[in-house]
Amino acid sequence: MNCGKVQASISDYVDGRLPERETLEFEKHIGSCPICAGELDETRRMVSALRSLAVPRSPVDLWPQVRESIQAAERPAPAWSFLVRPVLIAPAAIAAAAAAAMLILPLPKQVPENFPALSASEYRGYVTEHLRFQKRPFADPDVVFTAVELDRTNIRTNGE
Amino acid sequence: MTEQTDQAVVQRVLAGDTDEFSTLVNKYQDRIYSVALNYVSNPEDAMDIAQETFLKAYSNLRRFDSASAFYTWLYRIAVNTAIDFLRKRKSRPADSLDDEKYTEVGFEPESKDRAVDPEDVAAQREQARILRKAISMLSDKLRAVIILHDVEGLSQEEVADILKIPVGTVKSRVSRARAELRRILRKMMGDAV
Ligand SMILES: [Zn+2]
Repeated sequence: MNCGKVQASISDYVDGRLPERETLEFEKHIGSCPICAGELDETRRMVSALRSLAVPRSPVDLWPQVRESIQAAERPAPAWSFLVRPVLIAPAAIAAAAAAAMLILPLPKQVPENFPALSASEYRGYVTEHLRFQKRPFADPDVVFTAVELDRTNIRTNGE
Repeated sequence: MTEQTDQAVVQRVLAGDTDEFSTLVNKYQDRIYSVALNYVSNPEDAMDIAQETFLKAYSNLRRFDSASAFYTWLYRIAVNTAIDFLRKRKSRPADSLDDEKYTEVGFEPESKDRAVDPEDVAAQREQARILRKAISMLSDKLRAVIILHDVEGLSQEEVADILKIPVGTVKSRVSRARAELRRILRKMMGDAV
């Protein structure tokens, strides 16, 4: 074995994965070559230092937070959630949707007569959620309401 | 044996017993957290990544192939989650790795029996900081084998399972990664002098 072959085998040797015959040649070379012996020594020290980076334990128990996230994801959606379905729309439609959204300001205290059967608090929840999205129609073009959707649910506080 | 137990737990969770998932979280949280910390060098980010890993595992549990071991699947999710995290972080200033406070946590001096020399502890912390920084400079491929094989102490066969690559490839990547890491460390030491 020459120095090149020995140095290419150092990693396997450190892991005990060098075949027996090569191991003998490897060790013979190491015994007579201080350069390769130094390389072996350095690799060994680095590998043992790497092992010490493993952290024995997590600083906190993760389950409470994981369970909370699971429950939040599985919680049934509120009654009005079918109305606030986020939609993907083409950028050209954004301006139209945002303009249509202006119609729902300000927030009404009563449910409009022809609104689908919802309680006043559910309706307010719906409108609040709606407004939350409306505040960022241009920041987040993926989440906006379409004019069609507004028409369907018949929220026209200005004209009523 | 362990594997049969994990499989049985997975089946119970899939049957609707969500709380059974805590068995798997409690069993693997330390190892997953360790992988995450060695990717990001920041305990808070590592905790987020570990949590996200378990959440992804839970919501994709039906897709888990029971022919493989649950923990190797979990490790794979953790590695991918950490890589995604680092990619997102690249867009903002990369200050975290240089921040001293992050390396204080998650490093335990080896001996607790005899009195620990504070200078030794400081030296070991500094060593951990330098090593993690060097690891962060490796390519995704080499970093994964260094963290899983050399830091976490998983076998080449386990790493092959996790990364879905042949054992021979793991072996050659371990060798390349160590050589590369030594080159980076030599350069870092050279720069420091
Ligand atoms: Zn030599």
